[in-house]
Amino acid sequence: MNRAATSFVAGAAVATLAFLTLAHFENRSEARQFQERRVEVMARALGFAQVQESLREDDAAEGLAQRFAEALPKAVPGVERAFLLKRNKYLAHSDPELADQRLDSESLTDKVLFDQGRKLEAEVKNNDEERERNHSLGERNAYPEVVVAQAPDGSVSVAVPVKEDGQFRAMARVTARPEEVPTRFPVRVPLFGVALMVLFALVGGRLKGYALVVGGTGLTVGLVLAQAWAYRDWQDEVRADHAQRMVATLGQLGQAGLLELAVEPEGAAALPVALAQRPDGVAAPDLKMVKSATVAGDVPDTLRFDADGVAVYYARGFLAPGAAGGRGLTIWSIGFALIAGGLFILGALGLLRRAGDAAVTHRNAYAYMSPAMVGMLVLVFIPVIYGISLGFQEKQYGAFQFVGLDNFIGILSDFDVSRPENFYFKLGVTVLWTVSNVTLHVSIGLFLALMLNDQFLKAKGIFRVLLIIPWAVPNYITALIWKGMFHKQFGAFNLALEAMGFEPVAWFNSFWPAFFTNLSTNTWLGFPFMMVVSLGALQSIPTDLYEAAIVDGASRWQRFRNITLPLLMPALVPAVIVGTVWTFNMFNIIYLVSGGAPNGATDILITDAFRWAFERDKYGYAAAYSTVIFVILVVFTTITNRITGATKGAFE
Amino acid sequence: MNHDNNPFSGGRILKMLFLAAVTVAVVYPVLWVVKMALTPSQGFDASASPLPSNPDLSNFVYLFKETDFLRWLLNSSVVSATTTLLGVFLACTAAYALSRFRFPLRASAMMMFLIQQMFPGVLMMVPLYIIVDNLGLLDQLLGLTLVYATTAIPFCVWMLKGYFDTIPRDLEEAALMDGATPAMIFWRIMLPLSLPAVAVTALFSFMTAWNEFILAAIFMNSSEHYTLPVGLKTMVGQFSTEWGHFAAGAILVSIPVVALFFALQKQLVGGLTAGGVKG
Amino acid sequence: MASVQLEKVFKRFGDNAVVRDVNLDIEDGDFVVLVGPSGCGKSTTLRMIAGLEEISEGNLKIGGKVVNNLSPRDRDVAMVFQSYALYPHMTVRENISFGLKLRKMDAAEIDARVKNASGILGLDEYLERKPKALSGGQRQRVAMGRAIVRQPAVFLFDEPLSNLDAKLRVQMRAEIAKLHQQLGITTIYVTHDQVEAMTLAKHIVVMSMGLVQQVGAPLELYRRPANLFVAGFIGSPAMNFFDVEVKEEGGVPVMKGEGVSVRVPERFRSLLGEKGRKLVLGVRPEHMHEATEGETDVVVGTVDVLEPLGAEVHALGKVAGSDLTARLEPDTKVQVGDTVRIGVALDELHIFDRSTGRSLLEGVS
Repeated sequence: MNRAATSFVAGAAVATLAFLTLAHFENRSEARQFQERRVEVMARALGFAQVQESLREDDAAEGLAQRFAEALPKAVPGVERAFLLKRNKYLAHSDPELADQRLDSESLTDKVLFDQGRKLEAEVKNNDEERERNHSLGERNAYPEVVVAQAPDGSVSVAVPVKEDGQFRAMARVTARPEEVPTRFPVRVPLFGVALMVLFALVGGRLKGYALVVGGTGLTVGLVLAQAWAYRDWQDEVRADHAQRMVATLGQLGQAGLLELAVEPEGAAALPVALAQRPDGVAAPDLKMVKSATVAGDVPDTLRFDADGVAVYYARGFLAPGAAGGRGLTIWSIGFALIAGGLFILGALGLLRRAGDAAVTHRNAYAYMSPAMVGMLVLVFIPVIYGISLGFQEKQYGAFQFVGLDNFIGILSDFDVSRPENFYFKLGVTVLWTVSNVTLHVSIGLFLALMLNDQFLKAKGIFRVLLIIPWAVPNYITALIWKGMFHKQFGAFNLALEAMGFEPVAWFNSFWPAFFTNLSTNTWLGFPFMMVVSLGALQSIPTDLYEAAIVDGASRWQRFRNITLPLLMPALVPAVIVGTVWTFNMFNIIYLVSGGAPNGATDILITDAFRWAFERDKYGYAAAYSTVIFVILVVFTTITNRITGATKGAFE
Repeated sequence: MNHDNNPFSGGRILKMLFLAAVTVAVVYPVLWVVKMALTPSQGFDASASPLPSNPDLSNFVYLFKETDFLRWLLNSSVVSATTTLLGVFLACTAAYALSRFRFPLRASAMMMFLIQQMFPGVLMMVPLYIIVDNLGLLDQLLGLTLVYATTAIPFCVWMLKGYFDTIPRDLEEAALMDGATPAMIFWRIMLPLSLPAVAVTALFSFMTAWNEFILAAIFMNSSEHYTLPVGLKTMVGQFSTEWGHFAAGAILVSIPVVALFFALQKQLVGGLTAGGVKG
Repeated sequence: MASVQLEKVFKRFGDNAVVRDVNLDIEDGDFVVLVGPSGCGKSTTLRMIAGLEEISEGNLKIGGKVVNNLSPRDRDVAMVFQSYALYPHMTVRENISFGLKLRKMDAAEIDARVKNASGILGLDEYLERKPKALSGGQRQRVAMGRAIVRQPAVFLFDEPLSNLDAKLRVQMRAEIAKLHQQLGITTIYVTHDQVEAMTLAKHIVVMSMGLVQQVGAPLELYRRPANLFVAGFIGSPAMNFFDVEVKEEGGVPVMKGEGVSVRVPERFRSLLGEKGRKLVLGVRPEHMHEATEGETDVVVGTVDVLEPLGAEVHALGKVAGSDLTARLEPDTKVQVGDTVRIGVALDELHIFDRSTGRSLLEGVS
């Protein structure tokens, strides 16, 4: 076996192993998503039935709901508990431990449940408001009206809102224990692959040059892609199984009277209609792919199975949550194929061996580096790569789906700068924010430093210490205090304005005052850094330079212009670059002082990215946003570094 | 620059008056915080006088008796101390390698540490949240600590590397001749000699953990796992704020950092500019 | 104590060999000085012996044992650095005893050794001080103390005196010589200062461009430099070189060049080969004098500078294109600008082949 063949075996083995591991986790997460989806359907069914019934007859509603809640766990395997909840009142429940509790009494003590209810209620309300304000708000931009939780014992709970005329009425919550799902990965392809690898390792030694590289790379890439293919097929089988169970569940729900489902053969045509409607009346885009027997014939890419006498045709992606798995894995597969091929080419070129040699020769260095590098890799490098890759995906129904450049295009191609969420508007605000801050920091800091740099000035040590305080105070505290100072009624600024006979200002109601609150807060805490840097640099300028200049007849301004400024630059330039990056990313001040008010107008890129992720639940969009910010910053520092040569010498 | 050396010349008096005015303006918000902390009422009191009218310690008593403040203090201390230990240890070893060894990928590693510092925290936040979740460390101090330590490392590495560079190689070679192993050289020569830089690194790591708000707010769900910043933020509500309690907490939180900061600020300044852009 | 052998030792950085084919056989108790201009590979050679640099090729034996792959701690060698490399955070005592502590020697023994070393070096009063509080000479002594207490098989010195002022240097030089006499430990000493080399060494190794140029006792190098490099390097002021050709004048072979005319001494005649051979004639300044009226073996040059040193006067000038440095009597009447006839001592001539640079007098006593 020559080294190229060895590295081929290594490359393919690495790829296979990584692939299998990934497939394993992919499958587990898919199983979990399936479970969540199934329980969601049940929870919605529960709520659906309750609302339907209450519309018919008020008295009946309570009893019926209770009956459903009790019947559900018995009717559907896996379901443990179900209940309807409004604020801290149980409307209906199936929990024997609560049997002696009077329904409708305010007896709820579980804070988690209470919080979930509030969250759902808030989200329904938010979505309504958002839709009213912004008609273009699509399904993807809405808050998800579902709370999924997995308990440590593995059971899945799903809570959905029960709506009546679009109003939140109650929370339906179902807890179920996950079923076993088939996870056995077919081993035919990997086995075949191993045999192929061994064969190639034996033959590879006789191949020469390009033949070896081309053959090995092709084989490696092919092997990985074949694995991906096998995985896809197998995943289809698993999905078919999932779908079968899902329909069975629906059938059982129907039998329990919780969902009106036609299960007799002639009702097959009604099934897609029933499924296409979410129980709460909202169209379910991922469910309408179910094909009934009558339409299935037109769709080639389907599998057929029977459930409770209903022939269901299953299209790829049908009923599988988000349908993300297959595509996500294909991307990973291509990635692995590239890695495996790359490893092989490197090996064939002897680079791997050299890398190995380097690892041995420099083992001390790597030993010292590795603890930090492992930490950085896991908690910085992987998150960064993962974060960037999230920019090409979007979360839909609990799973990330590949959406290509959609997020980036969405961010960059929207030129409607009149809306505050617009990227270019945000970029403008951010640049304005950064430039005005850095200018103020540097000019105030430098000015104070020049005043303090006077060896005969009394008490300058005291001034210096007091003036640094703002920098030392944790900035979130500063931010919260300053927010208080801008309070409309009690804030220091308005009190001062009133004392001087002016009208109080509603600081957070329009853009410029709100921007001013952020700016003044950040100036307060930002100038000391520049002051200290300038002071240090000023003190390191030898006095004989000034003496020489005086002898040469230079005026005070000329001395400042020709000696002080040029000698300050080496210290000031890096400080300005750092300051710029800090200010650009100054999350706490914006988030805590103006909070983006009014209406997100004073948000800068970084806070907006945060809101996309954690307030609008658009992780993918937020990730794309962050990537754009990152690129801007890297370009900025690269250019400034190139111009100023600030990092020169550091790499020695 | 000013070669007139009379400390009481007209220009200097003016200058002092100006500086005094600026200083008062800058320090005023801090004085208010002190006042509010010592005043039993919970309103935001921004009256002109910086002195409390009838001071007492009820706000501090409240913090310790009625809230989880002690718990948060303990959490923050644990997280900050662990972050410091971990961050400094990892940074020391990495910086030593970067300073002393020439090895393949060295430049890339340094570039990585440099670039990481300008990475938007939010971009990290989403994936970190997911990764920390997958590690089962969400709502746990350990998860927060790991994240803090790694965010602090790049700066610490650059800072320490710059300092290590100034320590002559001869010393290590002398120790080698004296019979020291590489580990002994690191522990008994390099580290004692770099104590000032290590102190600043420690301060920085400590401050990173002690002052960090947003990650903690996102990662920590239960009040008993809150760190001080998250805990304090709960007192500042959307509509009403317990200013007295908040101010008292703010003072307690700030004292250790401000003290440490003043003790080490000179080295910190050099380190920040160095760590950010320059070696 | 031990002997040290280098056998065909090379040091390469990439494709660049900075030490080439060095062969040395250093006896037990010897004092060898490696000397040469900066960049000649002498320090690298020393560091290879110390174990601070890897040996690219060849063998290094200490006490007859190949130690190429031993780490410094296992080679039983001690080194004094140019910068002294004292640990700034340790007191003098801690500095000196550090190596012993690392070797887990018992405290009483350490104490005794430190006491002994500090006695020899006169450091008794400074033991509790930090290096910062010491003068240059004292630091130098501490660095030596650190080496002495180890009682190593071989001492290595890397330009130990170059950071001291001239007077202290002379004093320390004497102390190092004394120390070597007292302890008798094999010593290898690197310097670029040929005076140090001449005064300290039992044997000198002259290096240039990574190659050993000549090995020998100090006077041997002075009297019989093997090539132009050694001839020019050893001796102060440096030897004068004149380009000459052998011509016949009145039946006698004479070395002729511009402004130069010196008869070939009888005992060298057989070595010079055919007439017309291009040679370099080397004459040390101290073997020159103002020529008398009838003297024929002379060089003729102009004087540009006179350096009166008291006991002698150095006349610096030119002979045709070549530099001239001549040592004259203190009462000389020569003035700047004069054209002078300088006589040379025929017994002290050095003759080199111009193309190879090698001395033609090898083997002649």
